[in-house]
Amino acid sequence: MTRLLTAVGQWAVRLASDAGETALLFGSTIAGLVSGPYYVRSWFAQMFEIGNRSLPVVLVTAGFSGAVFALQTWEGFAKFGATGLVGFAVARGMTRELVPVMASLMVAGRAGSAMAAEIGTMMVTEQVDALKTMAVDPVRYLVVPRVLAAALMLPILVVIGDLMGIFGGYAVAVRMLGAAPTAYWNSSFDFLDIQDVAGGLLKASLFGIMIALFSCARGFRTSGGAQGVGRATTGAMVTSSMAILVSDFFLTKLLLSLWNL
Amino acid sequence: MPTAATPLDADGAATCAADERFIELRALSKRFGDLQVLGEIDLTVERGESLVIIGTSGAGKSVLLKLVIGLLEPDSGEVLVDGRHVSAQTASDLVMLRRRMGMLFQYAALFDSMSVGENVAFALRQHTKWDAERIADRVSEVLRWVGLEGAEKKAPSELSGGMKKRVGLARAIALGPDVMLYDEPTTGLDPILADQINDLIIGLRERMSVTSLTITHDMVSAYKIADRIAMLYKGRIEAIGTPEEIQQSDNPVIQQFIHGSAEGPITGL
Repeated sequence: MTRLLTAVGQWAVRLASDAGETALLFGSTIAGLVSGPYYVRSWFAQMFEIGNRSLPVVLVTAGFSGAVFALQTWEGFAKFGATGLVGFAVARGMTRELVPVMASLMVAGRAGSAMAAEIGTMMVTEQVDALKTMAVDPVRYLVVPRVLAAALMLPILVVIGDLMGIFGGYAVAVRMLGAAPTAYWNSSFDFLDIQDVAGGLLKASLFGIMIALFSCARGFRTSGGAQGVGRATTGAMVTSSMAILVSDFFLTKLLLSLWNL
Repeated sequence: MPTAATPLDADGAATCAADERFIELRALSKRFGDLQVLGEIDLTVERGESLVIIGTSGAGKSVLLKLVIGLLEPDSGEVLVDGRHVSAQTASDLVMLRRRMGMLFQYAALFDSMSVGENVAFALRQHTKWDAERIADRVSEVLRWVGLEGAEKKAPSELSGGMKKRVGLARAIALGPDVMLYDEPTTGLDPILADQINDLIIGLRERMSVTSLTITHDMVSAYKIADRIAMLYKGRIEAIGTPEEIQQSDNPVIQQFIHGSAEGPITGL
């Protein structure tokens, strides 16, 4: 019993400590965003890393999600004779929810874990200390460009993913299930509001900030060599994914109640 | 109390004229959890002097070096570099102070995502408004000083341990520092490479008139590059003196360490 309580206590202390460090990192990042200096080359490199390198996985995920979503809704809607609304259901589901969340999870797995591994390796090989001794702030040099790049690239990935998801749904509904092409497109876009897309993009941008912050924070907490880097990498992915899924509910509730986004 | 080989003043700091003091540690203490790593250390490095700190692994040498450059905060006491309190500096003042300091890390700590040239140019790009040509000239110059002329395009992964240290040295001196901190500069190198690094340290000191603080447990290196040697033992300065004074010290701790003997007061055997 004592051992159990000790373990729970240690876990709680570690969680509070991690949360505190992440909050401090967030504060330092805001300060870095406001005051500079700005590392534009690093920012562009991170945009390439997050955007270009994540694009294939986001395209595949969004395309097949759209396809399976069309398949499922077609079966369900057919019971009510409402297959003409499948295009709208796919488009709304993709833009509001599925693509922002799926793309963010993919970026967390690919780019977020890479951020934690890179910064973690820099920690254990004293490269972060070397930055400090050369009078360069690691937060401004490493974190700010990653946060900015993730906040910007995730909405762009989501726009492309939205189109791919709608196209995936179209391919299944029209090519496999026999929906009329024009009716499907009309259904997809006639009822789709700008709020549907805007809400997804705003959430994606916030998820991007979370991924970069949690992953960088995990990287900065790395110790203990290769094993520590491995733990940081998986930890970053788990923490970011949990944060995306949990915050998605609250963000959706907030955006719907504030601006119907 | 330290059994010093050179005279100590009332506070335990090595005696030297006040205006010559470039690095000063005053009653510096650092603890990690229950472990007291450094206990009220007083130490002074004169302007232009090369002070080498020796001590066993885990004696707190690296911690001391990190306190000097502000990578760690002391629990109590002060670090002054050229009269400025390192831990009391604002962020911008600390940037200015660190621009005057260079550090060679034990494993060089080269940025592995950059080429050798980019590593050496890094601080120049951050802290000067020099154009690309001037930066390239300076990079080429410092690489020539360390015997790596033309290595700009190489990746750190292509370099041997000795070459990495030399690139780390070139990177540390690119901005022309007033102070150089060396963390185990010869550890892991064969004796010939180690001697080349020693010669580079001496050559750079003569060329740039830098004040040097080195930590090492390589006594050959310590005797060669030091004006004075201080031994750190159990979180305190056990003794301080010229290489000759250290060699002739009758302190059994010093004698065991400099002769690398398994038996003696350090090991308790």
